[in-house]
Parts: sequence; C-alpha cells; structure tokens
Amino acid sequence: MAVESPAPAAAARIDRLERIWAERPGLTGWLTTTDHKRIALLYLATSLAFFAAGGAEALAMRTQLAQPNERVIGPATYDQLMTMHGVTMIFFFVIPLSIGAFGNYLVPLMIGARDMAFPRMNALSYWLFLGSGLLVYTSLLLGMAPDAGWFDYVPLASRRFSPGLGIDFYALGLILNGVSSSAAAANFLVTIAKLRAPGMSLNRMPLFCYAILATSFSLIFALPPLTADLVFLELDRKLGFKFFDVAHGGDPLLWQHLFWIFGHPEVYIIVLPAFGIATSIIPTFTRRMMAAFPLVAVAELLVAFIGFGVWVHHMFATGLPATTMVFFAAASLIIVIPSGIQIFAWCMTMVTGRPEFKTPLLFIVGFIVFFVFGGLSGITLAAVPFDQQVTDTYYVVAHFHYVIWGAAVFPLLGGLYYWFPKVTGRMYYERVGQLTFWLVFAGTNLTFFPMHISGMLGMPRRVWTYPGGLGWNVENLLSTIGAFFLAGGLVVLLANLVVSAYRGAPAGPNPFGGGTLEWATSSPPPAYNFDVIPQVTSAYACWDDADRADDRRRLETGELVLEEGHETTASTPVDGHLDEILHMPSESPWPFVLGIVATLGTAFVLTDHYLIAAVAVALAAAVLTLWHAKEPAAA
Amino acid sequence: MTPARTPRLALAIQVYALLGAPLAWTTQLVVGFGLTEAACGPAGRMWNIAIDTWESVIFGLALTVAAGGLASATALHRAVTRGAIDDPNGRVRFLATIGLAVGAIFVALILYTGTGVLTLEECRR
Amino acid sequence: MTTAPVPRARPNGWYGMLALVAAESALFATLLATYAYLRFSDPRWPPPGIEPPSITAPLVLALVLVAASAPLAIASRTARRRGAGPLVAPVALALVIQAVYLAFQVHLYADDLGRFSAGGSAYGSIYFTLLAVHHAHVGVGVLLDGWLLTRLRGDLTEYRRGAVMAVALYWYFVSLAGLAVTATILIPAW
Repeated sequence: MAVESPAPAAAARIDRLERIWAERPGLTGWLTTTDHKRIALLYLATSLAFFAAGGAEALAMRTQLAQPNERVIGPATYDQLMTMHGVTMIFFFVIPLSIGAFGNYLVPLMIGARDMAFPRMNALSYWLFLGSGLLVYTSLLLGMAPDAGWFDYVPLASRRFSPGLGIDFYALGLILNGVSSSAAAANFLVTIAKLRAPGMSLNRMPLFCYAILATSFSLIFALPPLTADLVFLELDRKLGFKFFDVAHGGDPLLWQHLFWIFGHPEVYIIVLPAFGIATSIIPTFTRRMMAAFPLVAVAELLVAFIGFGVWVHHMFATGLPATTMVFFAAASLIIVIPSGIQIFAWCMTMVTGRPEFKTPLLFIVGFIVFFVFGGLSGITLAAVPFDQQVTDTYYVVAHFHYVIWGAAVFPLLGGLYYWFPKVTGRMYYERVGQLTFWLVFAGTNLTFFPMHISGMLGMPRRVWTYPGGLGWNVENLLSTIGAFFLAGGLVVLLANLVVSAYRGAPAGPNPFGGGTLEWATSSPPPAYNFDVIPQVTSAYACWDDADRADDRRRLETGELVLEEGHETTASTPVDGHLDEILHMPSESPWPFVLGIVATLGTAFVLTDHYLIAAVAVALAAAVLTLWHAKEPAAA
Repeated sequence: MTPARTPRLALAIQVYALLGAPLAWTTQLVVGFGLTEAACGPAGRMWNIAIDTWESVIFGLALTVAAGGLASATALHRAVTRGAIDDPNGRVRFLATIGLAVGAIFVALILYTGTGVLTLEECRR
Repeated sequence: MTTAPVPRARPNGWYGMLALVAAESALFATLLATYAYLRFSDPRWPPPGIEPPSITAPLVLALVLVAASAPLAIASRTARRRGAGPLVAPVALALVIQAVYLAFQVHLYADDLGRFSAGGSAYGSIYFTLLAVHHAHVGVGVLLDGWLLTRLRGDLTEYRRGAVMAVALYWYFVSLAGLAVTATILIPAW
C-alpha cells in the first residue's frame, strides 16, 4: 500500500493520518513514545546490549574452563559471572528480544491494527525492563553481584550463607522485571483478543500471533509463583521469616518447587516465540501455506499448557517419592508430541513446497537441527533413572544450551534478517548473511556438543575449575574454542546488519513475498501502520490480491481509513466481526515517570529504607491517577 | 449423538471439546500430586491415606471426562464436515480439528499418568 | 463496512482487568498451595504455643466482603445494559462496607501479632503473609472504588461504563479470594 503515488482524495487522507500520528522529534519523542514499533526498537537495542554483557560473562567462564586447574578467575568471581550470565541471558536478553522487540513490532502489524490495546502500558513495560536490568547490573558494578546461580537455591541464598546484598539485588530486580513482563503479556492478550482486523476470525490469525498468545498465557500464570517465591526469600532474609528454615517448620524444597513452577514454563516462554518465527519464515520461503495449520496453532498452546505440569523434572534427584515424580515424568514425555507435531509440519511444508534457502530459512533449518538434538536429550532427561545419573553434570548444560540457545535464538537471528527490510527499508547482504549462518551454526555445535560427552563422563556443572586426568580436557578446550568462534560469527552478523542498514539496496514493501499483513504496508511502515484497516478473508491475507486491491479502493472512498483521530478498530474476540472504533492515547510522559518511580522504590526496599519506599508507592499511585485523568476522545 | 443445531448447545459442546480434557488432566495432576505430598510427607503418617484408592478414583473420573471431551470433538468434527453446523468463516471446523488433537493427547497423558501412579510403590523414595 | 450501533464485546479495559485478575488468582493459588505444602510438612499445625484461629470473626467478615460485591454487581449490570439506574450510590455503599471491613481486618491482624510472630515459625510466616496479601488487595480495591466515584460525574460514557464493569470484576475476584483465604487459614480449626 502507498507504493504508487496515490490519487488526490487518497493523498489528502494519508496527509491527515501522517499529521495525527506524528510524534515529537528527538529525545523527548523517544521518552514519551507510545508507538509499538519505536518501543520495539528500544527493546531491541537494550536487549542486544545485555546480550553482549551476557556473552562477555560466558567468554570469561569459558576462558577459565579452557584447561584444568586454571586460576584466571577465582571461585567467588566465577560464581557471580555464572549467575549473571544466566540471569542476563534469560531475563534481559532473550525474553525482551522475543516479545518486547519481535512481539511488539509484529503483532499489531500482523493483525491489521494501528497499535497495541494499551499503548502507554506498552511503554511502561519497556521502562520497567530497563530499570530492572540497570538495577541488577548495579550489583555487578558494586562488586556484589548475586552468586547463587540463576536458580538461587536456599539455603545457600539465605541470609546466613549469603549475608551480602547480592541476593537481594537478584530477588528485587526480578520482581520488578516480572511486573514488566506481566504487563506486556496482558497487553498482548487483549490486543490479540480485540484488535484483530475485521474478518480475522481465530482460524485466520497468523501462527506467530498464536505463539505470542501462548507465551502471554504462560507469563500471566508462571510469574506469580516466582514473585511469591522471591517475596518469601526477601521476607526470610530481611525480616527473619521462616518459610525455608527447617528448624522452624519451613522447607528448602518449597523454594525449588515454586521456582520451577515458574522456571519450566519460563523456558517455553523463551522458545515459543521462536517457534512462531519459524512458522512465519517457512511459508514465505517455500511458497506454500504451513501444513496442518490448526494443529500447529494448537501445538503452541499445548506446549505452553502442558509445560505447567512438568516442573518436578528439575527435582528428580531431591529424594521425592516415586509416586510423586511419575506425574511429571509422564507429562515431560507427552509434551514431546505437540513439539513433534510442529517439527513434522515444518519439515512437511519444506519438503512439499519450493524452498529457497536464503539466510532466514537457513537459520530455521539450523533451528530445527538444534531443536531435534535438544529435544532428544530432553526426552532422555524425562526418564527418572537416567536423569538421576546425569543431573548436575554438563549433560544438562548441553541440553539446555541446545534448546535455549540453538532452538530459541537461531529463529531470532533468522528473524532479524527476515524482517530487516521491513524495519529499515533496506536489504541486507545475502552472501554475507549465509556466511554468518554457517559461522554461528558451526560455532554453536563446537561449543555445546562436547558438553554432552564431558557430562556423561561425570563433569559436574557450576564448577569454577576441574582437575586434569579425568578425561574432560579435550571437550572443555573444544568448547572454549567454539565459544570464541561463535562470538566472532555473531560479530560478523551484527556488522552485516549495521552496514546493510546504511548501505543496503532499497527494499519494497514485500521483497520476499510474505503472506502476513506486515508485508502489506511500506518498508518501514508509517507510524499509523496501514492507510486503511485491512479486511481479511484468509489466514495469509497478504496473498489475497483481491482483498488488497479492495484496500486501495477503500482508501479513495474513506471506508475504515479512520482519519478523525488516533483510531483503530476493535472486533469480536472469536469471529472477528467489526465491533467498534477505538480511540487510542498518543505520547505521554507518565510511563517513563512511573518506570523511574518504580525502579527507585525497589532500590529503597533493597537498602532497607522502607519509609521512603512507601512514599514511592504513594507517588506511583498519584502517577497512575494522572495517567487516567483524561478520558478517550469520543463516545 | 449428533450435536443439536441450536447455537447454545453447539457452543457448549465446542467449549467442552476444547477444555474438558485439559481440565481433567489438570485436576488429576493437582489433586493426585497433592495427595502424594500429603500422604508421603511428615504429617501424612498420622492420617493413613489410602493413596491407591483415591488415585484410582481420580484416574477414573479424569479419564471419563477427557474421553467425553474427545468424543464431543469427534462428534463436532463430523457434524461440521457434514455441513450440519453454520460455519461461514471456517472457525468451527478449525476449533473441532483442534479439539480432536487436544482430546487425544490428554487422554493419552491421563492414561500414562494413572497407570504410572498405580503401579509404583506408594511413597517409596 | 460500519460498526454495530453499540459494541457487542466487552470493553478492552474489562479484558485488561481480566488479565490482572488471572495473574493475581495465580498468586493466591500459589500462597494457598504453600500453606497446604507447609501443613503437610509439619505433624503439628499450628506448632505448640500457638492457638488455632477462632472461627466466628473471620467467617462473618468473609461473608460481609462477599455481600459488599452485591451493590457493585447491580451497578455493573446497569452499566453493561447502558441503563438509567443509579451508579454512584451503589459504588459508594460498597466502598463504605469494604473500608469498614478492612479496618476490622487490620485490627484483628494487629491482635494476632500480639499473640504470635511471623518470624517464629513457618506457620506464622505463611499465616501473616497470606493475610497481608489479601488485605493489600482489599486496600487497592477501596482506592479503585474512590477513583471510580470521581469518574462517575456526568453522563455514562463508554469509558465510564467500562470502568464500572472492570472495578466490579476486580471485586468479584477479591471476594472469592477472601473466601478461599478464610477457608485456608481456618484449616487448623476444621
């Protein structure tokens, strides 16, 4: 749309839309933006910065572990690096990138809307994420980073064995981060339920949106157990409560149960958006619709749902009764079925389509390889006897890096390439892109495959060094070489994207021939996304030439152009019948202000200044009142 | 049994076809797991809970509800394919297909879980 | 294509409140499950030296809280059907009942703290935490009622209609949670 120069009536409408949706220039614009695309770019930049930090932590650890008996880094520092690596990669890199950057940018575009349901809350989610990340990293700058692992087990994390502030930074930072993610999840749920374009019934919603839907449901139900656990921990540490203290009737296993009730759904939260990206890239580059579309849609939701019933498989070696563990072993094995449905559907689509192995599709093929390997090692871990042999060894480290690096991040890298033309308006360098795939693919395998072997040979995880002569030396050296090679490949990838952003060839609205609605508007999209709200009659709306031609006609007549204000449409949740015109808020300072108040309030709790923290809470309530002071324009 | 042509009944059957089996498994998991925690924990020694009896009851109930969900999904799918239900957008057929997959997977999971719980020795660590 | 004369689906704000209610329900479920877990871990519950809670006051108060949702349900129904009935009066009535309820609960909480501490046992820890979280939700609800009253001056716009429905939904959830919390803390007295 808006590619050829429009006729006079259409041009006047576009002009009005441009003026209505324009945001302030410069820094003020970025601090007060409510545009989902700009918020997504903020998430992108911030999550990539944290990625670099987490990567540096990984390289430091691999340097220390390259050879036996090294003394490059001492045990205390190693424990902090290990903890920060896990916390950073999960909470400050992969989830913000998946849902904050990709989800935010793409969901409104894919459903034919002009913004998310709650644009200001969207901005708030970003500022809270930034605040939580800065808060936790302050601990590293002060030399008191948390050091009890990303899973932070008690009694090690209790005040008695961790008297410093590190654990408090961890707990309070993650509570703040949880509020950010919960708000984002709620926003996606309402957006997907209500803001879909007219005609987009549930069976016509893009599969990426199903992935985000499943992820959002998971976040809503998984974060509260973590919050409760972290609150219990802080109450124990700061006020002497006894949740985890055996001598007073508490139980350290309570921490583990609540942590993993969150922690297992968390790993599906990490990987589900990646499945959604794979399911978006494959149809485009194979020129056919995804095979078994309804089954792939429900497989996303099933993985999320069953994922809530497997958590005890992280505790198979804690001495629980067999009749307890069997519930979770059964679910851990059955969850392979929906994952398998998706793998078969992806492969079937590629085999029966006409695949073009451009860079994005290469990353998806790599993803499938890693997901199969990681899934297989996961199945072995679902068997209690085997798990009890390899638990706490590098076998587990290998498994989860294959799934949450290989399977979760490869689609993100492929997605960066795939949507690069849409976001920047330029093409990336294809040959360099393919090279970066091979570098990163080889580097990943070289880093993580040897860990299966050292793990089965008995190398424990979470150790800062190891003695020689146990048969682990070669594997560790290979992993370290692989890690640096992988880092190099990622640097080349980043360089390709940066240079392409400045010097790539101009891209049109749909350079790859994609079928979802983000390809139906210009590259990059205007602030208001679409000249007219699209009408949808199939699941691949951008392949419906008649409908898209009809959009251009409606631009002339003004039907559903919605140029009277900041407007978009709401439809009925199940069948997508047009229901009302929504009036959306525009720029606002309140999300940024509330982000600062919340972060500072958390910092005051951290340092035991409870009275000042209470003042921060009152301030937050005041900000929320001001936020809701002005009602929407009409009706 | 053929689903009635009245929209309300068809809606109720759609909801049962989609949610019946998952909720049956969830109940089996929560109640069954809670039962083993209660019976095998320190307080459980006072109570003498007949784990196998209760787990059998839960198993039977969950399996019945889930099988009913699968049966509803099957009936719904057949009705839609025959054209007995109004489906201009294809949404009902989509949800019916989903119901089949959901029902089958959860029936399998309930069977897997139940046989496991009943064959293993109670409270053995 | 035109929209229907009035929207058929519930407003976005109501759906947003539903998402919040879902998350907070998961929080309460976690706290109640923690109570059960700790109870299963301890042969003596409450531990020696702590009296089981009395039944009357908590039960009566829980029922009062549920009753306070009735005027809100009436207001919500009026709003949903775009009726001409009163909105300010039922919301104000609910606010008064809920505020008095909260005051009573805070008084009972302080009383309990005089008899045993949160830091003395796992029982005390979960007892006081569970109640504090519930009372905090009631407190937030009272603030929401107050905010809603400031909004209900003038015509019933779509925004205000959604606000009434959303606040009512919040209170249905808090009342149900109150029943569940009361039933749980009264477990030693069953």
